[in-house]
Amino acid sequence: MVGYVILSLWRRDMMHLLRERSRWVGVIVQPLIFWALIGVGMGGALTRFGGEGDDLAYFFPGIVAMIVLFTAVFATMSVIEDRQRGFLQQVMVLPSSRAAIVLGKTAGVTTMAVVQVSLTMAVAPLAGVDLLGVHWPMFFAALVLGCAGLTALNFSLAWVVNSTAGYHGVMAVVMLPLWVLSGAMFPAGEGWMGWAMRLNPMAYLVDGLRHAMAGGLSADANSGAGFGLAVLAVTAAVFTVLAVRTVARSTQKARV
Amino acid sequence: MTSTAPARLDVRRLAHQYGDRQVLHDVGFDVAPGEVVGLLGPNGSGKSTVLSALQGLLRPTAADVMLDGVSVSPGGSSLRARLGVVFQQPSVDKTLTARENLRLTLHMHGVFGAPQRARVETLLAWAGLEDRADEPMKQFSGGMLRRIDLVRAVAMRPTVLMMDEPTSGLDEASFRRVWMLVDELRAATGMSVLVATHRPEEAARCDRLVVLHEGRVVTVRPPASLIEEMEADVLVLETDHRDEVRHTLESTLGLTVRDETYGLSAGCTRGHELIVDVVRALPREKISAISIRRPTLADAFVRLAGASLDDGDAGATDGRGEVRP
Repeated sequence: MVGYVILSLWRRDMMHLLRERSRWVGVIVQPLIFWALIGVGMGGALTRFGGEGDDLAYFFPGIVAMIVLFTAVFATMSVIEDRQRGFLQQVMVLPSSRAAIVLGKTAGVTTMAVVQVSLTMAVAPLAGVDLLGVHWPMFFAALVLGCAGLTALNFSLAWVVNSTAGYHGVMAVVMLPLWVLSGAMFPAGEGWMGWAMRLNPMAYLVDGLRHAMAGGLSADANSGAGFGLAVLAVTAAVFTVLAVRTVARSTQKARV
Repeated sequence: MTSTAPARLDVRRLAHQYGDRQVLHDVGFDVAPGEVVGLLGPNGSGKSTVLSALQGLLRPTAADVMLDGVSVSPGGSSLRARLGVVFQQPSVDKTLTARENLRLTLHMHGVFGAPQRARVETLLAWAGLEDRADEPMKQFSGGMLRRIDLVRAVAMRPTVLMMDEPTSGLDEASFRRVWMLVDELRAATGMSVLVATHRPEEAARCDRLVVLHEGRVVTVRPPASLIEEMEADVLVLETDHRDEVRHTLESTLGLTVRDETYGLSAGCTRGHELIVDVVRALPREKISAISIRRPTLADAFVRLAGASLDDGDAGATDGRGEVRP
């Protein structure tokens, strides 16, 4: 039955994706506007941080990571609404493992991210990305693993916070700084910030995308492609287990 | 239970604690096949906690549960596989249509293709909403949402349907329609029903009531027997001089008087004769209106628990809590 529940929750997310057009604007258009404004506005500032080349090209993998982040944030916000409006209660009383709720949501959000990022890649040539030269298996591996980890982490946060306003606050305090420290806007330097970036799982998503967009190896990345993908896989597994345990623990503590 | 057949659902020693606060104390009751059993009590009496423990939404500190004579884990998957659940709020996705919601439910249970389509049509017909099946449910009224939620809960033909305040917030017409549907579904499927309620009119529809107060079972009896034990009549007085009128009724006529939202009430026998005595005992200007009515389950609850069904989380009162007729 776990498989049916995962499939059903995935299917429901796909139905929402097709119907809620405003979601596309928030998830795709906003990061692209960021990309254009920051890339053009910073006008060569990248070299001051020790990077090389065109800012628009440098920022593009980070913008894709931002789309993944926004997709995970917006989609997991529905976990709070689904709990408060009762839909998830229906799922929780099924004779199925609670892990199905986490896995179904992760599958749905990851598919959404893949669709949205794939469409966004249509403008990648404007950033100097040669679509024929992209290492697509590496690209999708980084995308899927990174999105799964972010979704599972956001799922846990949404489940614990259980308030839309509170969740917005957590996103502003936790997720956006993680994105800034991901190597999306500037390369890893020395000192504490360099270490913070090395400890940030989102940095390995950006690096994976950066390597893939460069055909498999990018000089701008802060870590190796293989190592980065391994970190993303471990992170996704850990955050998924954490999310499943969070849901299971809520049964013991429930105040109904 | 008078039959020798095992109860469909038998709950014993159900206890639960939140921190230091014991919210359920050795709750025990059974539900026979096809029977409707009500958990009656005010908010905070433990009704929803009992249901949540059986549905696996919280882990009770103790419980022995038997399903058709077989011991099962409280809230475990073997019990959940036989349950249909209606929550206080309709647990449907209002952005989807009624048909999509029902398909989604069947999908989660692994029912696909032609069997799924046939089952959805049957469920829509039960709900009487075939003509609204393809509209987003956010356009539905509360009663329509509840009907779809109800047929969703019985989509897999559960042996026990659990409903938590299923008619909360519904008007009288929707209330009757929901209960007509419950009766039809019970007749069609033979399922048992366990319903948590604080509505006297809903409790009156049950075969037996488990009266709960502060997490304890006060009594388990048919609703009619609870009312039979009451005084024959309830004297109802509308007055702006509560203290003075109460004092007169208690000291002169020996009545036990309760506060009501509109005034005062008192249980009595031969109410039509008592009215004459009340009119004689009280100055005319002290009473706005006086009448006699039959006792309700709300009155029976006050008598049994010393608290009103409308008391909410406050728990026990001094026994003169507000009761709406």
